[in-house]
Amino acid sequence: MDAEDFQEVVRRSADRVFSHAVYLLRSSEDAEDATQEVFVRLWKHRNRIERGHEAAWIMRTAHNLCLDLLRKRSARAKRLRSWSHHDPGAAPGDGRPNPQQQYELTRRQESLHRAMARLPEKIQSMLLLHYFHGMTYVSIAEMLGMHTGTVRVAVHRGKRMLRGYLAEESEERRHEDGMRCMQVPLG
Amino acid sequence: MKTECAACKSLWDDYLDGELVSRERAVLEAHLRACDECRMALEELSLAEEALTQLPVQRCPDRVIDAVMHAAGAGEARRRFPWGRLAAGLGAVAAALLIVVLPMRHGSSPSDEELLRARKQARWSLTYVVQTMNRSRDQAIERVLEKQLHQTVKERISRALAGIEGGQE
Repeated sequence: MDAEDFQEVVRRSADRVFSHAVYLLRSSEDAEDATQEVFVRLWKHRNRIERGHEAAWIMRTAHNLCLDLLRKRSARAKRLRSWSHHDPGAAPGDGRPNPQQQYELTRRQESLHRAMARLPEKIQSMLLLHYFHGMTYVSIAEMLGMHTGTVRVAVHRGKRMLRGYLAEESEERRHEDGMRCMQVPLG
Repeated sequence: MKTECAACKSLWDDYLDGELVSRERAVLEAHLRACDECRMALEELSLAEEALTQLPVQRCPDRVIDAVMHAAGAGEARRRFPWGRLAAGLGAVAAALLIVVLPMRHGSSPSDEELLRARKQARWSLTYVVQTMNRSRDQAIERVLEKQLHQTVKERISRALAGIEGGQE
């Protein structure tokens, strides 16, 4: 891979890597560092990476690097807190949602982020690889050197845990809304 | 949990992945029509999937890309020619010459010991400069060969080198 190819690969995959890192690390600053590190490593090992396998190499490195970073961060509570300060970005789509829709969307996304944060880190990454990046179980398994069945089971397990946590979040939201309605003065 | 519900639950993931055969799908859908609890739970699971799929793509800040390009560019420039090392070598040669020239300008000639030290220093520095330039030339040739040699020729060279390393030739 020469410098020109490298630039092309970086431009093509920077958003994917950065998104993966943001959703796992829950900090834009850490995600920037991780993204930079992935591409610096890509440049360093460019002669060892087979042509056409760059994308898989990049995602594997991003996955491993983020998990390493998370392992190094012992304070799980800190991550949960940091979410409330992080803006997960605008929703995709052409039409801008109205304030009420935006409010609902933000609340749903916040619930999802909080629920995701409660999952084991490896499972979070696998869920992102499968649903967010659209990778098949087979591709994830090949990329991470695992059995397809193991990946499938991990993703299904993660999804069920996520559903449980989302249900809890939704229950809490309903409770909060109920409390708010009671506080509205009549007349 | 009822037996039918447990059986239904075991099919949820394959159902959402679209991997159920038509008979199993029909059984599951019949149960979902009859069981509110399972239907709601499956809807929640489907919503969780949807939420993950629809997470917005986060745009990587330009400063990150710029930093990566800069780091790669700087690495490439360093790899092309080691200006730093060459400058250090030339600087050392200049310093050695100054040791000899400066005392002469002040009317005193350098001692034998100073001359010997300056000569040694200059010789060492010149050797360093020459070695640096030779190394850069070799690396440049290597890079040109690496880029321009035909794949077949590269493979032959690799095979030959492997043979030499393995003691076959």
